[in-house]
Amino acid sequence: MRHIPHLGITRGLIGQIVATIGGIVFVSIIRMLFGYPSFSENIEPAVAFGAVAGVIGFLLAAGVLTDWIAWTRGEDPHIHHGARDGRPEWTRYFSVDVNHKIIGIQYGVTAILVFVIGGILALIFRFELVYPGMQFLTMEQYNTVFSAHGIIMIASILLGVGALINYLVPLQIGAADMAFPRLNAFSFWVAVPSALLIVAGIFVQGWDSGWTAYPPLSVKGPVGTQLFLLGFWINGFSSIAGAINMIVTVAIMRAPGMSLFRMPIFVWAALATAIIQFTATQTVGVALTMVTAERLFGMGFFNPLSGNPALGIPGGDPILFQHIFWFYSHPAVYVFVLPGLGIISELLPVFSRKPLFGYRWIALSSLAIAIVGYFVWAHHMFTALSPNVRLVFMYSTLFVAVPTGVKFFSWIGTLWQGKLEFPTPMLFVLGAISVFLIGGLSGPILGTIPTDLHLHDSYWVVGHFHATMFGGYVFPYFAAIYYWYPKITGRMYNEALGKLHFWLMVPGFWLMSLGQMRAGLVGMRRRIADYDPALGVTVTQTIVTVAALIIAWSMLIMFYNLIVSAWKGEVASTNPWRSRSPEWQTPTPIPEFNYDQPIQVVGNPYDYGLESDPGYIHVMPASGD
Amino acid sequence: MSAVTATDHHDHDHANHHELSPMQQLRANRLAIWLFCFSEIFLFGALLMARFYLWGNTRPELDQNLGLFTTVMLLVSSYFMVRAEVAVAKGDTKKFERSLIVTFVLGLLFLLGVVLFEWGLMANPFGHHEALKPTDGAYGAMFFAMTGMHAFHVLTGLFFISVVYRNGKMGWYDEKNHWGVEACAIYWHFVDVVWVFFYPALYLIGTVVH
Amino acid sequence: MHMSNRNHLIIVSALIVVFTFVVRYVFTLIYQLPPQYSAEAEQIDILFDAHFWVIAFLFALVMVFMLYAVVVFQRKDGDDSDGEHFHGNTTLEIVWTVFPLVAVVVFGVWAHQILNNISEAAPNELTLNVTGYQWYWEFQFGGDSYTTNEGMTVEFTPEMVSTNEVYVPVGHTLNLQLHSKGLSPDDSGVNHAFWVPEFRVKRDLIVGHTYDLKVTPTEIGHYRLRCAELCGAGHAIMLAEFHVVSEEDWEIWLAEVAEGGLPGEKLYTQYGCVGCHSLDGTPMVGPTWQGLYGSERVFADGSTVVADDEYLYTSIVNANSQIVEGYSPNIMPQNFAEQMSEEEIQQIIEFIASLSESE
Ligand code: HEA
Ligand code: HEA
Ligand code: HEC
Ligand code: CUA
Ligand SMILES: [Cu+2]
Repeated sequence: MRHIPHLGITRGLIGQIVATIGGIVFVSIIRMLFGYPSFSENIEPAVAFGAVAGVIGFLLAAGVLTDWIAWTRGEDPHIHHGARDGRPEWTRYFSVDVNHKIIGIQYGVTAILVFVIGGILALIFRFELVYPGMQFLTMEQYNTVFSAHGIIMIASILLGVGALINYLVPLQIGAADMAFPRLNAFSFWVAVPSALLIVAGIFVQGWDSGWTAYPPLSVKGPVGTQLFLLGFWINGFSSIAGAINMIVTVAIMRAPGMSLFRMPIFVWAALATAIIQFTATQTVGVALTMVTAERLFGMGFFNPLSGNPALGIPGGDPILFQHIFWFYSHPAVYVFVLPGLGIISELLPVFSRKPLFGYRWIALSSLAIAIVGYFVWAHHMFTALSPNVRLVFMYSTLFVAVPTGVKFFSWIGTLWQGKLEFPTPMLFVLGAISVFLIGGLSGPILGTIPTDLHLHDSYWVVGHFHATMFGGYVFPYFAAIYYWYPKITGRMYNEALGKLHFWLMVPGFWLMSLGQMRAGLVGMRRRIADYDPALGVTVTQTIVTVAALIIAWSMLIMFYNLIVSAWKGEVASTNPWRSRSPEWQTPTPIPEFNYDQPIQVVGNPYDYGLESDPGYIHVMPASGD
Repeated sequence: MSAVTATDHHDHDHANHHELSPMQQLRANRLAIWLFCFSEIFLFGALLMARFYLWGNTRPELDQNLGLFTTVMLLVSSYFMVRAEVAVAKGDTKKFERSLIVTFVLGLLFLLGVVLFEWGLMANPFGHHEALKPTDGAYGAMFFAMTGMHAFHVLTGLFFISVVYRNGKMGWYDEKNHWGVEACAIYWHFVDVVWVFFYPALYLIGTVVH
Repeated sequence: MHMSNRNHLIIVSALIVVFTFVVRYVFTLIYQLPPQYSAEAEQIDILFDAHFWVIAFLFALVMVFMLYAVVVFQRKDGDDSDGEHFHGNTTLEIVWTVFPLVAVVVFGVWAHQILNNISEAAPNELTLNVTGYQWYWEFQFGGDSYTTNEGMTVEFTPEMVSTNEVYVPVGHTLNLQLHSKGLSPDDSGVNHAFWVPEFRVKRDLIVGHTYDLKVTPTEIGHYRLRCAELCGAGHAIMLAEFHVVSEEDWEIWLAEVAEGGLPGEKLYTQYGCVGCHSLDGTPMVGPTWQGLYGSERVFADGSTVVADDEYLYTSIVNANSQIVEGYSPNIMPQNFAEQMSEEEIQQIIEFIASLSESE
């Protein structure tokens, strides 16, 4: 208990609150002095400033910026490893720490907490949708809740992706840490106050523009919109900094002998992800900044009425936003899934006891998906674009199916003639394949314009993206948690409960997603607080809600399993899955700097069943004398 | 080997193999800053695209003299930045410091030219145009977005220069080790190059309609 | 279990064929399109059908292989050996790159073709202006007149504006002109989208743009136009009745519209009250006007008042002064006092009162 006041998270939260209030008061006073409308008449400028100040306050108080500030003062502080001031080891998880494994866990746990918030929001509006008519939410509240659900789930995915990449990549390439450990800590910690901003937006009048924030609606929306925009925007710093760090780490810090095509396949996925993140994220930043500026300063980027035809001044155009937004947000959907698909490729060989089929093709298909992904953005705008422009995007969109297909077929090749075993992680991997398949296959039908004219903004789209995100992220993420759990905690999770989780979640998910697609096809629009009983989707909607409850239950079982097993679970051996990957060759718990002796790569990562196998890595003999 | 020496060995090894060698660290730093610049291309690129989307083949009436003046300031500052970097690599501390100061002053002139006069915070000593306001439709919005985002980068660049200057005074840099200067220079040149694209997009391309 | 690879593949292929048909059949049970009531829908549904076949096949392909492997290639208890050692097969990789590539190109070209067909100009189009407001639809036929296929001329007058309801003649290609407007001159409005599921096609109403969309309704019937782009609190209830009728019925309706109703009723649509207040008790973003006049109003702060002329007047010119329980402030525009004349406000109040008298 006595350590709590010293924890980075405690100090950060206090810093955020103090700085937010300070910022609000400061702006209110300035505005009063200059004779602008008072706080109660227009709270937005003060709230916006307070929000940004709050994030900075959080970072300062938590100690994220300490070393950098010292640098500007002409000092050259050394990186601090280990718990500070002789505090116990657990405090590291709640404070600013530079070890990539700690940061990975911090990301991972935060991702789950944020996921639960997003899931509870989903349950709230799913209850509203059980019957036609408004039950217990107003229409404005409904809009706030589903918008928050969308963006919070996406924030959760970004955190989860950060968890996987941070924890695994340095271990898998045989490095001691990321290239820039302090920047790594920054990437995680900046995501915390930004997530809080989004959550705060729900309570500060809410917002009604969905996660896509299309103007003019997002320009007209209540103050919560501003907090959501800023939270989303600041989250971008996390992605950009994390991605640059990740690329540099892979480029510079691979173990000797680890050529690009001898990297564990997950590292390829992480690389492709990072390439998308550090480029496209900038553009969504521009889009969000523009909406913020239009709200705060009346700059007319998106408002056609802002111009002055008499003076020849052109007005804005709302379509511009959609272009810039989707230029990020389409590639972003591959950020969500590429690491997950990497997990699938990583685990399949281990549980099939066979080499990964077509390693190079899988590795390059990740890059291909990332690159083609840049040229398809306008498929979200088929109903808003001029007829000719959209044709180009129809073709490019359809091409994405090709590299994705390569992955599926290679996975089948990996399973074929294997010696398959089915512990919980493998089940989740197989579940992921089936779910991502239906998600992916519901994509090209959206990609051909004539069919999209019917499906656009219907529940079919909702079904499509839940299936892709569950298959490409949620299922693989759970697989990864179960799979690396013995390495992280040193104990085994409970296999029976793990299987129960799986067998509840799979049917729950299928009901949910197929139900959503079905409703969309017969004509149910998305983002509606109430639906027309005449459509005949009431039963379907009720089933989707029940499915959501099943998913929630299955996750409660997982939480129970993970928490209890950390204390009571069977002690796990160093390499319970008989994997060849480097992280399993190092002791549990993993040493502070991952490998006590440097490792050297001498073989291929997935050569299961190879006769006279040199192995994948060698631990180098102790150097020195 | 006794247990004691083994652990000793262990600790000793920890101390060096988990940290990057200075050479590796330098490579990592270089790569990172180039990646950062590449990332920023998307930021400025998006603004540039937005300008062409909204303004098309037209542009607002701006003060050409002022635009030319600020542009020249920034370009010349880049030259002095190169001089500073060369000087530090040769160990010429005096020249390094002087060049850095000149860079800073020119950058500051650019910033003041844009923020004070182009933005109409002060009456423009060069011309007699009425300054554009942020609320002037797509012209005002894009003009302020582009110059604002760029000015923000110039501001951080100036801050960076002053930190490097101070650290230089404290004797941090020598012929071999002057990563801070190099980083600052790369950043400054990048910001400069961005303006090379922004300047024509704002001041030269398209016809003035009103 | 020592079957040769060839035998495995033969079994799997057979299963895939069977499973493809099974999946396609299941799709007919769970995936239903709405009835097909436009010429465009007839073409688009062909593409839908093709897509569903491809989805069924590919789903069967991957799932049968996967499940077959799960069943047949299980590890025996106590067997710690590894599986067959093979790394890949370049021919196979090329095959499964090229085949999907061909498939998507075929689909692309085909979709392109259909898109061209459904956007082609028809010989005798009937222009209909559709304007989206927050949160209602307004319809007005374009031009001064229209000559039907039988050579009859229908004259349009400026009064022929209808809200949340429109009648169109069956079998005519409608050239929809889609606009989005705000409730007052300095309000840009927001984006909406035109969608009648039975017609399939959809197009956004984007602020500052006018888009067109061609629809040829082929069946007499009563459909519902549903706003398909998130447009704020009232998005869910931004609906309009879209009646497809015979030419005679269409003309009868036009004549009715031209006559109009009470002056207050016109203002009710003109100023957009219709977007938030229903006349028949339907719940919308604002309270219904049915039975409003003379009833006891309960406010968010718990106070009450009987709705008389004076109360209605304040509610209209200063909506935020008293917030009805269960509703939110800042939704109803605050500037009606500037937009409407005193006389118009009185006419609206009269109209609201008339709704209670008739009961
Ligand atoms: C995790 C994220 C994810 C992924 C991976 C995908 C993958 C794809 N998406 Fe999806 N999509 C979203 C998340 C995702 N999407 C989200 C969140 C939205 C909605 C955003 C919003 O509006 O809120 C959306 C919306 C969306 C739209 C816009 C719909 C609309 O609003 O009108 C379209 C249109 O083209 C589309 C297409 C595709 C395609 C073609 C793929 C392809 O990548 C799929 C490729 C995979 C396969 C095809 C399956 C396997 C392949 C084979 C077995 C090979 C053979 C296949 C063929 C020959 C077809 N998506
Ligand atoms: C990763 C992303 C992700 C995930 C996992 C989910 C998960 C779920 N989503 Fe999500 N959804 C989105 C991303 C995601 N969603 C996005 C981006 C949108 C678009 C928003 C927009 O239009 O702008 C959307 C929109 C969306 C809609 C459309 C809303 C509309 O258009 O009106 C619906 C409707 O059914 C829905 C349902 C669900 C359900 C039932 C789940 C369930 O699977 C959730 C299950 C999880 C839980 C229920 C939490 C589990 C844990 C617990 C419950 C523990 C309980 C703990 C305590 C009691 C302490 N979602
Ligand atoms: C954008 C939505 C919107 C529009 C347009 C709108 N209103 Fe309202 N109106 C509301 C809401 C929400 C309330 C309830 C909150 C309140 O009491 O202010 C309301 C309340 C009222 C009330 C009080 C009703 C009661 O139940 O006591 C009256 C009268 C009224 N409006 C008249 C009008 C008139 C007349 C117009 C058009 C000229 C109009 N409204 C347009 C949203 C709207
Ligand atoms: Cu109009 Cu939704
Ligand atoms: Cu997309």
